[in-house]
Amino acid sequence: MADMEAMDALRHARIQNFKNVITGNGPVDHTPHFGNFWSWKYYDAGYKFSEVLFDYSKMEDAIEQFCTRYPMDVLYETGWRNPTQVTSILGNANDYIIDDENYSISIRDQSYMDDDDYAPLIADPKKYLWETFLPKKFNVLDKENNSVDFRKFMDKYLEFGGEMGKIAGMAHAHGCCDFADPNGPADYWGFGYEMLFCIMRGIKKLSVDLRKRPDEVQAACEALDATFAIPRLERGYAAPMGSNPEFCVDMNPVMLAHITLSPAQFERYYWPQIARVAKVAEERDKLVYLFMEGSTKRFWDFFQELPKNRFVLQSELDDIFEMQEALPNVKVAGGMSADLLGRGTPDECVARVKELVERLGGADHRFILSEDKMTSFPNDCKRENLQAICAYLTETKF
Amino acid sequence: MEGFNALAWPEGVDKVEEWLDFLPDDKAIRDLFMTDVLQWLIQW
Repeated sequence: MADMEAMDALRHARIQNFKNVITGNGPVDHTPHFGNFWSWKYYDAGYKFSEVLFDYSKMEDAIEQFCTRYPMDVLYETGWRNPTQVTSILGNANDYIIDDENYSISIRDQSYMDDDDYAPLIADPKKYLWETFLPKKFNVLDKENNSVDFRKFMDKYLEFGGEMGKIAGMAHAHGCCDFADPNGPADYWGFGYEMLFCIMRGIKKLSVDLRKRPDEVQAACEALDATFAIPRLERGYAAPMGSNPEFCVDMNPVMLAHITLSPAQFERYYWPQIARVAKVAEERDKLVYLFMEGSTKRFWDFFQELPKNRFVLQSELDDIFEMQEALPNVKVAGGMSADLLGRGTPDECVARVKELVERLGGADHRFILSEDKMTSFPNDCKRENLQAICAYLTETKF
Repeated sequence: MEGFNALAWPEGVDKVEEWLDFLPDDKAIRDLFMTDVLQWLIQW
């Protein structure tokens, strides 16, 4: 049984170390490992993906095995990515495609927001979202007396929340850190453009909207921001100054929807949210981890405006050395390729980690190791490779 | 067993808030909780 006092001390030391990498305000005693591991965990544990999705005890066991086998500072995904037990009771199971052979879960390009829905969304966002959008998305709720089914959803939602808390406790028993403050001034993707792109309007239809009705897209973004992002930001401004000592960072925006935007479109629809995040980070002494899918190089001149020593940027596809050189105001994370983890040898993987640590960490060791891709498929990683890099990072002290 | 439109805004959502006996009676806190539920339902 883990010595919880010792593990709590380790966890808090790791949190402070993580913050020191970002701010440069204290010593860095090891290179933090931000574990970008998703459904590969369940493959490694010997389960089918669909087994884990619908059985919390299997999800718990898989995560316990992972934390035991691969000591690391942060395990990013601890089951929250897969709330299928909750959403499926509302009738949208067909929106997800679960592939057991490849350990993948995909979401169909959804467009429950119809062409005529811009006006009601802009006029009264909450009324539109509750009364019109949700019944379109969840067919079980598309009836007058839906309270019985909604109550079943609420019970499952609260059960899921409890389960996530339980898994967080399990991770704590291994000294694994809680990553981002859930009550921080900004959350993962709860702002207008991401919501329209990922879920409401969908990739295809939104791309057409950007050409044919850009002013409505902007107004819809602002309406959604006024409903979700701005109130959260205001709560964040009212919270105590300084970075929350229980979390590695205070905000963790996830960038997905930028991948189809030009710089001009990014400036109009996307940058306002990042600018708000940067402003509150500076004014309230907070730390931010930007987790970015795809490539972001065409937006680096925007990122040059980010306040110094407050941001970490992790990019899936950009060259990490080039990014650090272009953006000396931030620290970078990533660099461990799935190709090497999945196809290389332990020695090759450790050599890559050494190169990253030495070239990017510098004399004060300010670098965070992570996997460039969301490690999901069986071929994304070999057990012995991951064990080798975890051992190296654990043993290498500064 | 109750039967109403839980998605009617604001009256249905206000009735749902009455179920949340684990939260303080503060309406602002309950409203915030339901805004978070709304966001979660949109995004997942």
